[in-house]
Amino acid sequence: MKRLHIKNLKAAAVLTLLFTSCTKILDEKPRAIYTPEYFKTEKGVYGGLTGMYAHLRWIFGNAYFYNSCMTGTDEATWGASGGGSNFQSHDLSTDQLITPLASDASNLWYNAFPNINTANGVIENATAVGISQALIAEARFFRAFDYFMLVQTFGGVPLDLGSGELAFNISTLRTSKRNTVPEVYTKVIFPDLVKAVNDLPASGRVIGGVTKTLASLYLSKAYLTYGWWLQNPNNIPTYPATNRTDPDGHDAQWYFQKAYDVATQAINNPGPFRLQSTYYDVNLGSNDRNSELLLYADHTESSELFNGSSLTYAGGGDADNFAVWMLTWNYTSITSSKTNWSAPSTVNSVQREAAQSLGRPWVRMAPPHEVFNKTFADKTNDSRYDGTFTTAYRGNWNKAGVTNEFLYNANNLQVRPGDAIMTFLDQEPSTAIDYSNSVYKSGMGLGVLPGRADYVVGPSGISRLVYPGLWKLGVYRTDNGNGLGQPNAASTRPFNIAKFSELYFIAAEAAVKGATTQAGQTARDLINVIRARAGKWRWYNQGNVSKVQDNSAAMIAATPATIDVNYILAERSREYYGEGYRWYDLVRTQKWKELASTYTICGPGVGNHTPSTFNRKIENYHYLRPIPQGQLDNMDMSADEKATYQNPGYL
Amino acid sequence: MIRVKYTGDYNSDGAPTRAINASDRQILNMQPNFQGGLNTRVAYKGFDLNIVGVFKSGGLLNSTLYGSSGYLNNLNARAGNNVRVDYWTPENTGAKYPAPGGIGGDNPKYGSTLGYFDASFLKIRTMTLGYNVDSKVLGRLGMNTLRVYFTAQNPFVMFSPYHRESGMDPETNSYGNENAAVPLSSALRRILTIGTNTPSTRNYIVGVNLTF
Repeated sequence: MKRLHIKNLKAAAVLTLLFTSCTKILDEKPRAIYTPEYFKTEKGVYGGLTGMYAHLRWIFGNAYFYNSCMTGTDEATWGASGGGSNFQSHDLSTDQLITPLASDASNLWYNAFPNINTANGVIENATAVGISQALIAEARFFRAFDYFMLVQTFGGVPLDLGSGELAFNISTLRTSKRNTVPEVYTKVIFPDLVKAVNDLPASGRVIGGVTKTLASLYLSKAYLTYGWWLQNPNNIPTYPATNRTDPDGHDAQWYFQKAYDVATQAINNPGPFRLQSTYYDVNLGSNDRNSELLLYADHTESSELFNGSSLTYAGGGDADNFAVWMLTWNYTSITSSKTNWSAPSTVNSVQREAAQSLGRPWVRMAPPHEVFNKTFADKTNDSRYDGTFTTAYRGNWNKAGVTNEFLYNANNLQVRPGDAIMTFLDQEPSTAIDYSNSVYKSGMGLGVLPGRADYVVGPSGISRLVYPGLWKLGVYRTDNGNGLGQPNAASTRPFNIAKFSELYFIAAEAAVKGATTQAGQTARDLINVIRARAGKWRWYNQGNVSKVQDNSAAMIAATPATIDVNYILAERSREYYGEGYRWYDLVRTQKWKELASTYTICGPGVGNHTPSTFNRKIENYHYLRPIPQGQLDNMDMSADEKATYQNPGYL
Repeated sequence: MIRVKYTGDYNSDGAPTRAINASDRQILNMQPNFQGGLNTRVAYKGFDLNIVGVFKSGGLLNSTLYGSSGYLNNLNARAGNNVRVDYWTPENTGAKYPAPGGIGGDNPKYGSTLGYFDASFLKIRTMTLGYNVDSKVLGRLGMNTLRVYFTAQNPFVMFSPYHRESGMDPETNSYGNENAAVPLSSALRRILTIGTNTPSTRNYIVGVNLTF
């Protein structure tokens, strides 16, 4: 009886526990799962847009994509440390081929499609719940931007990612079908950009945010590019094969006119954008994010998280902004002597420093001689040569703990920190340069001229190993203190993608292609705006001194009476050298073979200063890059279907 | 190393009809045919010998010290301290490794293939030789037990092509994304490799156990 009683009590206690209920219901907010519903909230749209801005960093500033934009054009060839790699194969001057397994344009493919899908999700869901049109227009811009990059690079690309054309993909479909070039332009690029121009604000929602002016630039550029594609002057094949007729029923001329109209409209209504007063200011590190810049892949030195890359050491990949390393030669191996050269004690006089004129050297790419004797033939009136290249390397051994007050350099002359240790001469001197290195062992095979304390290299001595650095993209940090800073980190500067100045070039090119121009805005007028600005100096990089000079009149006087496409292309290279525009410019105008088939440069070894000429085997099929092998591997399709998916020439 | 093999057709003059491409890729099996361990004790009179070992036969070993991603076997002029390899010269045509410089810069083409080795090995982890002194003798000295022993940890490796060539331990010490100048792609980050990591050490221990 007593036993039973206790048993009952126990049972009652257990039951009490079981029947006790929580008074509060757990309000679950799972963070690990995102559903398309998220894009129906304003927060979700902001999140998607932030991702779209961030995706730019995986493409622009990535050195391998950068390689595909420049190497093989008249702007760059492979550098001394780029042999045997994609830097050499993309040059098309050796028997190495660009293959679907080793194509540096693949970076664009892999990063654009996920972003396009995000944009699809934002556009479709945010429209359904009536989120601000200006915000949705940002997504439209990025979708059009990515499709525009893709269609120029690969030809026709799929609009249906699995759930229908331009729909947010929620299927697991592993097949794909490519649309044709005109379909990509007329179904997405033009409608999206027209809507973006209409809905975007004049001033960005955030610093570096997309604007009406930016969308106008890309709309006019897309019209121009499509006009060229319809015209197809050099009979370059397209893929997937299609007729060169416009589904919207217009001809090339109509598109050139539209390109001109949209570009000039944007020039005449610039909003907060305007040209910088000098070319130097456009690319000066301390003047980043200035009024001329419409779009950039942004970075910061104040937070590793928001920079998307280490602030101390970058391996070169992912979101690192490391493009500039490719065109930086190994200046760090230059040697001067602590003692008289009769009994030398050598030391590296220019150390690796996080400064705009120096930075980390990877030597993967090099500028051929034509850059210096053709593109930048004018180095005195035109400030753009000096505003593009590092041509003087200055001693900074004091920042590296070398205490010598001065070092002995060429001709046994003394140099002090800040003095030029080596200089790339503007012109070949009348006295022959002594490259022997018999007494003055420069470490890098540099030359000596009588009476000069700095080592020199003449324009004809520029080699795959020793060449002017790319000042415009150089590193800019404010946390170096008195030392060398963090030269092994990737650049924390924004990588510039689009500039206000390009509107002038687009309008001018459209005018050359036959667009009817307005008064005061002929091709020559527009180009002269750019050239007049290029004539204005306020700083001389090579001399590291202030230089206030206005050569605008001389620049304008030197502009030819009739502007043709080749002149525009040369002018574009002067303005945008080393910024990754070139391959796209030459492919759009179908001038790649004509302008880049041969180049001249000296060899990759130390002390090579004898120029050689190289020929490139640029075939018509190279005008499209291969579909990446990873895309083909991941598709669940037959070998024949995959072969059809690939661009011709790459099997 | 493994060699890049062309699997396509040839023209009548013996030249390949196409360049090496994606269809020449092969799926390699990293797994060994068999692997195991051994543990043995042999005793005779007062002496005893203990051996613990581990072995593996077949499979592939990926050494980033020899593959190009470690930047130690680039076969180029720029890298100073390279690993010593038997490379091709006009006089040494039967060499295992290709000619330096001919294949390019810091990331030579197909350079990762230089890092593959046959993963076979037999490794003795510890070996102990001990002697227990006779208890009758100890009783007179006032001791209960006296054992003298000598242990060698990681004394040697046998049947390992990698050890034979490099003198190094054939057991992996890194993940694919560790301890190499250029990490393997993120898809390969969990692959086990031999990289620039601390090697297993070889220790010798001499000991005396004494109980009163």
